[in-house]
Amino acid sequence: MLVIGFIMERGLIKHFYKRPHADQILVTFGLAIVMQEIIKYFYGANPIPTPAPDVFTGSFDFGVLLGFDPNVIIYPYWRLVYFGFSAIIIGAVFSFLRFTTFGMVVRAGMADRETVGLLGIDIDKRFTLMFGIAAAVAGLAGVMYAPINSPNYHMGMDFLVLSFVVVVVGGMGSLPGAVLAGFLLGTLESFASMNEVKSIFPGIDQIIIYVVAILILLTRPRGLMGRKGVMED
Amino acid sequence: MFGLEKKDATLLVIVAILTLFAPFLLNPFPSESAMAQFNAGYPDLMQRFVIFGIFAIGFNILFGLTGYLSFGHAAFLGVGSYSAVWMFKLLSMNVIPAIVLSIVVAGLFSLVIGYISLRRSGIYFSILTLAFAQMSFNLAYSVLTPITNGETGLQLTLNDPRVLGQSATADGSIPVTSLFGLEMRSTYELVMGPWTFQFNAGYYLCAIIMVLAFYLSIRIFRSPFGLMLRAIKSNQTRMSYTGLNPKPYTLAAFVISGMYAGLAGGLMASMDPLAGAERMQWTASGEVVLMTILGGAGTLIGPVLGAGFIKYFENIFSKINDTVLHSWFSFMPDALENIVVILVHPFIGKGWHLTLGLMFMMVVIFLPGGLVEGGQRIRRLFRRKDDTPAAKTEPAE
Repeated sequence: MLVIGFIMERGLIKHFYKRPHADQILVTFGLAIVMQEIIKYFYGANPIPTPAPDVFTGSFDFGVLLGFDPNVIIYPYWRLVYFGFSAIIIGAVFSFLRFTTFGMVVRAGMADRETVGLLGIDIDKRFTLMFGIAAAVAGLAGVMYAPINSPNYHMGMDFLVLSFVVVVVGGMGSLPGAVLAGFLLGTLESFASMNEVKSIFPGIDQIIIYVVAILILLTRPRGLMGRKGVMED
Repeated sequence: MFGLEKKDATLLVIVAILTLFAPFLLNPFPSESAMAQFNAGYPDLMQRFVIFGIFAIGFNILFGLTGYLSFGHAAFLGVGSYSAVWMFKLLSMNVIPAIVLSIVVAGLFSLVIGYISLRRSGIYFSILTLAFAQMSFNLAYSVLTPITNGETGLQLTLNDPRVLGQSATADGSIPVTSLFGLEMRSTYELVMGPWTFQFNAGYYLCAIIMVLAFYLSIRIFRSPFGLMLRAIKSNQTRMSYTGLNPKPYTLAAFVISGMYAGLAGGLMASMDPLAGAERMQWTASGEVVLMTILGGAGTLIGPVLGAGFIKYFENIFSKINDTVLHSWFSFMPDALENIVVILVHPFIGKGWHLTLGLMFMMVVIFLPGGLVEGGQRIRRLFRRKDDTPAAKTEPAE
């Protein structure tokens, strides 16, 4: 994924930093269609069931720990692994951006690309690497997700809209914002899917994410933790 | 003519003639020949050309002029379809009330969504419209099932309480949509030698409406209102410093383009009286964005070209299969023929999306002005060098 990310950035995205954001969105959208079709061509249109490694099959009985009867509150092991794994990845990306010189330069480049370039730093190269890392993280998420939902060729498109919404709600250019928004929207959706809630507001589970996204964007123009100056020209 | 400048009037007449003679023009190959599968002159596809043309013209009024990229326009199309089908179910099978209602409902819907979404601009506006559209899509699928009939889609049934007109025809079938008795599906076939041309009532209704819609969009483009919308695109801050409030203008553009989408949805339902939620999904919104960009955002004819282009390839490319390919390349030696077929295979049939995606990327990369800019460049090649380059449409923010 890192390599694919590099190639994409060098070959295509690089030329679009100077073009308006709408163009960037559109060209990547086109690229997404192309990649989806390539994947379909090689792997077929049917989902490929991918069971979790044997060690992690089965469920963990939370209820017993808290004094409930067995099998009241259970949780699949794989989801626990997934949870821990995503925490590690988030921590790693966060500390990489926050505590290394490289991260500092990238964050500076986000705010003002030109000035960073004038300081004699090859910002293009770092953006390429960052793009590659982003692709790799997305790929890792996909690998870990495979046992939960069998991968198929169009799953990317389903996630595209959601992750787009999450990033914008969290605030552009803010990693904590994205994590916060992800947790917020995910938790809210789970709550809204509970039968008790659904009986009061029918259909709420289908739209809660979008309702919350709209409310947040209307009250906080830059999303939850958005920075001034990112994506605003 | 019609209060247009000469250049625009010519364009309008050309478009009118093209749509009028489309059954001829889109059927250049005799119906028995090997090339007949490239013919696009059958009613279903031609209707789709003009209907999506209307949709894209409307989208272009918003995106091309103001630069606001709405990613939820298909919602208005879906709402238009639903209201048209309800009109068929409750009132009469005449298409006029259905189309009028679908425009009105889509207009109201877009007024509400636009009023809220236009508080933000740029990418936030796109996300807001996307969120609204996905919300309508999900609601249509789940809670609103009494109104939308959920996954099955809204259809006519034999016991619809139709106030004007009967619920079922004498022979016990569902009545068809019509314009004062002229059935939308009635088709006149003209056989001329090896050619068969099909003239469909529904197509001509859509075509006339599209020409009218196109005329209206020319008037909007050339009006002071259109100039205001362009001002919003090029510099909104400066515009507000001159004492103009951009909001009402943008909202008006949003509602107009929403009504165009509703009109397209109403026509779609008039041609084939059913409505499904998948028309509102974000991929459908993405499609109209593709059409507009591919044809050339901010140009008059661009969206129509883009719509025709995409719909043509969707229908024709997806029909080609390996057998057809083998017959094309049969002049080659067998080994070479097989290699060529294998190479071309991923791009055709079910893989036509790949072709579409590649073409779309090429256009965004090399021709930011779309097919129209391509045409202008070719024309410029044939002119003298001191010609001033035509004003380039800036891609929108």
